[in-house]
Amino acid sequence: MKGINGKILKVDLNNQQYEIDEKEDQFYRKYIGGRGFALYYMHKEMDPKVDPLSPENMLVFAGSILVGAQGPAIPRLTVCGKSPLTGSFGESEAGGFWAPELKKAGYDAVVVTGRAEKPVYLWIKDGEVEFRDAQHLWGKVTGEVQESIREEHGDKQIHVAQIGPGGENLVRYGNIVNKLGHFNGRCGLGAVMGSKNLKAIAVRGTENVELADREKVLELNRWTAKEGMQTSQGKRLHKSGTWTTVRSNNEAGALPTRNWNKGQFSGVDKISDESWQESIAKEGRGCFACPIRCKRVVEVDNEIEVDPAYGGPEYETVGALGSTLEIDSKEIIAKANELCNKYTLDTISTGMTIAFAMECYENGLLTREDCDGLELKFGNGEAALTLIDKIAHREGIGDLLAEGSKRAAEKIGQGAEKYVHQVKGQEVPMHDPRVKTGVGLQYALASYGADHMKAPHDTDFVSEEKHGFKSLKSLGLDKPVDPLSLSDDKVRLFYTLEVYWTLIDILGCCCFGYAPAGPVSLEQLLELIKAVTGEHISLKELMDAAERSIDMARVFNNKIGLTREDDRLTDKFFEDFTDGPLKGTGGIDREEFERAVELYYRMMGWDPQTLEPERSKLAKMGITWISKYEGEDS
Amino acid sequence: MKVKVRLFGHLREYRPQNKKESEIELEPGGNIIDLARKLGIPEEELSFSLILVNARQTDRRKELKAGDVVSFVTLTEGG
Ligand code: SF4
Repeated sequence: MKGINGKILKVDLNNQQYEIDEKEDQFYRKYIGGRGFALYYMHKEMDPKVDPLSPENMLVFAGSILVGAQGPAIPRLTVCGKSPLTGSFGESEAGGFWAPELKKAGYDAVVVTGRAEKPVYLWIKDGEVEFRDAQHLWGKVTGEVQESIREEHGDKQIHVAQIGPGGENLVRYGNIVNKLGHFNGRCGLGAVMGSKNLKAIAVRGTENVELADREKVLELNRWTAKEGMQTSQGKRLHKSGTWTTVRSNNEAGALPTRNWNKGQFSGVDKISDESWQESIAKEGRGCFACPIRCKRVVEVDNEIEVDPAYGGPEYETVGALGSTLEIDSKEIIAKANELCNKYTLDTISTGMTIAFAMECYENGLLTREDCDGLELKFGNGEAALTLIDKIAHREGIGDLLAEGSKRAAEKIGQGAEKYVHQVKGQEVPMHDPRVKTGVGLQYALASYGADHMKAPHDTDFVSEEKHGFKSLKSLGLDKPVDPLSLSDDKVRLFYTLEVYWTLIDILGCCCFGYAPAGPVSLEQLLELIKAVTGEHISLKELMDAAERSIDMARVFNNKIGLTREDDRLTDKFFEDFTDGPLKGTGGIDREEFERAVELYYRMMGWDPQTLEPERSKLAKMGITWISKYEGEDS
Repeated sequence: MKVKVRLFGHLREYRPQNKKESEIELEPGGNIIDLARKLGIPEEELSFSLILVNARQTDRRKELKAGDVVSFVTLTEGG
């Protein structure tokens, strides 16, 4: 197969040794990339019950069969390990440049285990691997670290995946960044890096991976740059990124505001797309070889000072550090984003944990003294900025909040858990399942805690004319479904879309490049895979690989001991809205929701009580080896 | 009959008099397609938009009522 190196780098930090695991084509076709690669090693070589912050946890940095090819929107670096936030399988994808560079440096993935005695960074250059001292980098923010590593080697093209103080100090939602603006945001995998004393992995490669039909790959990229960028989606992704969602959710009465106590924000005009565009927004940036260039960049040069090197807040961040906290100052939101980025804190969990603390404060569960003298009221932007600093350094109240909202609530007691909105311990993102129930299924069922990127959202499948429906019809979508329904058809739609977006993830593709959210069609994606690999891999084979990875994540969680209880949606979404146009309506019917969850388990071939996949399902997927049936034939 | 119209995101350019909310006169029995036509929004754009009638997604052929608030906003997922 073309497009791959056939080599996975395995690093043991305990004794600073590495080995190269050479894999056959069969491995690549079966697992494709991303979580597929990671779960292969996590099942084979680690005990799922280990403490996520112990040396025995594994951290996998994965590309895919496509990553490294100069096609449109294929930049993704997937990082997986056991999550210190959720205690489950953890996974997070980032765009940027690191994963394509790793492929050029000769590897398809890096599997890290162990713990270095002192801070180190890994230096991978054209196949060579070195363990380098990182004591001088420890405690430094990400901009300085990238600069310093590049200087050390005299090469500005080096790409660095790294943690800042948040990850070093084991903040449970510490993340990993590459090129300062691309984040493996969720699940606290930056803390796993911190626990391993691994400050960074720096990569540089000078050989492009050989492609079966390079001209065709470039042609697809040229199509995206020209025709694709003339489509409605191409144009607006480039212009606005995800900022337009602020307005659309607010219009729907479902913009998370005041820790989800409201669905509309009085300050929305100040934080909407138009407002960013007219003030502190700069020309956007992009990822490796991608012509869409949808990433936000902002700059503030008054006393708040926000450095454009750290990019800008996307919708999720504007929600989590803006409306959720009732902060309507773009400058403060931009600063909060910059601080999180320098320290490597996930902006969603950071915002949601601060929102939780603010609600505790407003209701007398936390006093001013508990909060180190901060007046922690909703809308207090200065206090939010101070808290981010404290969280990253685990100072004062920051030490408690660095544990995430669920653990913090357990320590505070007094019923504080009613102000926490999470699944599996991971704070929910900024989309309200009360206006699109499929998002509720995502939150409940994602193996790695509440997530909004597990499947395209219901809103794009409500009529035959919707672009989402049209562009994915060939997956077998046969009828539109109401966004509020939890019918069999909704579960089937969710199942299909989930497998499809898992496929996009394991291919290392960015969802904003491909149907339904981006301009490149499903048919073009298949052409791209053929042009990169030279193999004819059918959509069926690909969708099976995606579903296989979902089964593998479920089995991993089962081995840890997660149960159906861990797939519970937060209570808030079963309550009606209390403001805005949907006031007095919206609460999801709990029984209907549970019925839908159960139907999903059955569709997946999982026992609805134990969540164990049927033996036949594992056999069908060719993965009995991950289970107690290993080595048996029926 | 009159309906209220709100246009945002990439559909902002179709705002009558560049106001956040405007009242539009529509023939009784008119639906979202008629309204979009009146505003000059190409039908193709509707596929890429979130269209809300009184904050709920509605079939574009469903009859509007006097006083309905219709929002046309960009549909973007995730991020
Ligand atoms: S669409 Fe945007 S986020 Fe995705 S790869 Fe391209 S520039 Fe990066």
